[in-house]
Amino acid sequence: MANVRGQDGSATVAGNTIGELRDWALDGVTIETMDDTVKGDKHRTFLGGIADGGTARLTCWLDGGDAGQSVVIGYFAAATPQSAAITVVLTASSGKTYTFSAVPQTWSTGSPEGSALCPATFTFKVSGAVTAAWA
Amino acid sequence: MTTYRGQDGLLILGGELIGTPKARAAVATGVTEFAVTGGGTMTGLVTVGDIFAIDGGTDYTVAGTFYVVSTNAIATLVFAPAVATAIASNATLTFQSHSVAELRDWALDAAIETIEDTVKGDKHKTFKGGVAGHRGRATAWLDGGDTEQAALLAKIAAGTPDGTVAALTFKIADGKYLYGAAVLSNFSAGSPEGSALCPVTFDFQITGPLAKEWN
Repeated sequence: MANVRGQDGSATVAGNTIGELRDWALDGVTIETMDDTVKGDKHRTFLGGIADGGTARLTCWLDGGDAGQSVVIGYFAAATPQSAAITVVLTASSGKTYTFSAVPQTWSTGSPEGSALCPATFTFKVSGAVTAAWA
Repeated sequence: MTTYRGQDGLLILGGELIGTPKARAAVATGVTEFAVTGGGTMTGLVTVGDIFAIDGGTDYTVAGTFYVVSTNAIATLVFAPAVATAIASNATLTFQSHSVAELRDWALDAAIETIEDTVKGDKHKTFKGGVAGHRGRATAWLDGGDTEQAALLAKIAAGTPDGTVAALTFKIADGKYLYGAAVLSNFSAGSPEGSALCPVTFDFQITGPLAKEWN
């Protein structure tokens, strides 16, 4: 058995490494369930349906001058927002990745009170399958 | 790579010019546009409704749209009224910036709606991006005597409310801005219990595109 350290992670969006990355998460990867319980059954039974790749979230310190963050910010801060899915690669550590197409969904940033850095959080709606590689 | 401190942020009703802006060339009477040069380093952006004076003279109001400083200059700035007295080349431009006082923090949330386009035969859900929409929030210590806070409060606390903010700039640091036209959708103010200052929170709906300037 082995575990993976968070500090070895990284993320790319459309081939651009995201700078100032603090953490990433892939949440809500689900398979819809269909209840096929019938009369006479004493326990509910289910079939699996369509898979939903969930949502990917990247949390960073804001740096609009970073090439990767600049690309993602440009999906939102644009006269024509990004509509097509782009490729996102989430790396847990070298050779251990989750790759998928995704649509940019939200971007949150701010200028916080007191002694704190400016944060940025990006989320992407996964479109299609998530491909795992675990070398 | 670079990080930015929250303490360097501002919320500005309009734009900001940092440096020593000057008229790039002489401006004749009757003219309603001219070029701005920084002389040295100049950053920022100028927005519709911003006011400037040249050599301490008449106030001119910027018309049109957003003007971003590029290589220490703005090529063409449209304004009103027309120049009444000719302006000399290199005349000093005094720009009025309207940042909200007593600001504690601001936050901006941008979103692109997703449209599911999964069809029969697909094993995984697929999506396309749809219409984008953006919201902002700023919190401050309440100061109705501050010109900018008062202007925002008066947009709703008025006989005929109108939340239109022609240009709203969220400043991260000098030369680094997120901006767009906005509507003030609500404000919340209060008088708390005990030893605490009176807060105010402004919520904005960005109307139209959100833009980024990162010099």
